Amino acid sequence: MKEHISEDLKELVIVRLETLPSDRKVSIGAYGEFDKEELIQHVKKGDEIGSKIVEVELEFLRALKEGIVA
Amino acid sequence: MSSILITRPEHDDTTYYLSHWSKEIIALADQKGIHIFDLNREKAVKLEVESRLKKSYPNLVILNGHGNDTTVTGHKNEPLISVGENESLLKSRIVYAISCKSAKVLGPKSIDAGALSYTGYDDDFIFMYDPNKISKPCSDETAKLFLSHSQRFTESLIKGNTVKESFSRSKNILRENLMKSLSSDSKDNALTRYLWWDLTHFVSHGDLNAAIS
Amino acid sequence: MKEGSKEKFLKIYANLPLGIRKEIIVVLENEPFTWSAVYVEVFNNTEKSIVLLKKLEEMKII
Repeated sequence: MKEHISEDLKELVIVRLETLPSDRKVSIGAYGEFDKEELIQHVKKGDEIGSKIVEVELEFLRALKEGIVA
Repeated sequence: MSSILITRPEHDDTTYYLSHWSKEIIALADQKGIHIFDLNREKAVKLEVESRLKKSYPNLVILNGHGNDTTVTGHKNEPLISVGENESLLKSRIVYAISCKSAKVLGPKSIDAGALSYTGYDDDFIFMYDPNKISKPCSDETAKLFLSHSQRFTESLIKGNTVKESFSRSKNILRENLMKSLSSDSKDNALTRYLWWDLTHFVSHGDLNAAIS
Repeated sequence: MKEGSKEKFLKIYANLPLGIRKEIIVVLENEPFTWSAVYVEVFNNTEKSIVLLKKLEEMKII
């Protein structure tokens, strides 16, 4: 992800991830499988996986501008 | 006579899910009298894949696994098909890669090398699942929202439909699952962002009028 | 004619599926706000709405 991730964005993504169900895991490509807490830790660390998680959230949030149901 | 090559590594949760969700396809192909070269677990390696592509000439190639822009991997992430190495083996085939990012570079390069079509994902493939269902992945209703379109794509191809028709049908299923997750009644609102991601990154290259029959 | 952030927000909000409106969209002073919560502030032209809209614009969400 090329965009710089501001602290505001990180904070938003973390709060949104907190609402994910605790009894599910997310498989993200070749990065592996993560539960909610692991996703949050990666975003806090700001590593490659964290950047990918933020990218996925942002792509969705910004798609809402154009109308997700077209 | 048509034949299919399918790779099904099972070395982690992700590949285990993809492998088990491919079983129905194998059963359908068998019903239709289509020969399947099923490279499951330790057989999902480069040597086997190359050998089958060179000697048995499958019309449809289904690659389950991990990957990146230029590579699709198999058992324990061993590269199977890589740009600049062996994508020419996909010549004249219809390819479906449930493998991250490979449709970004390997896909178009395969078309340049003569593949009929290449369908896959131009970024990471993401899905949510219930780890309590790991012993029975096909009964996982959460994973179903992410994997059912993939099943339908290959089923549609096996039934003789074109890549265009199959791709359109499977995208519609993914879109329907997205719509379900958006509703105020849905308990699956959290899945929406990942369904949206997969829908956006599910792409097809090459001759969309290609079919296996 | 340049669209203000309030107008942009209202247009986007009107088009949002109901299931999405209860999602958190911005955090202000450690307080999370959903689309609907921001809508209430914007509808009432509160001072908070100005800050919220500014944040949403900075994050390119509106």
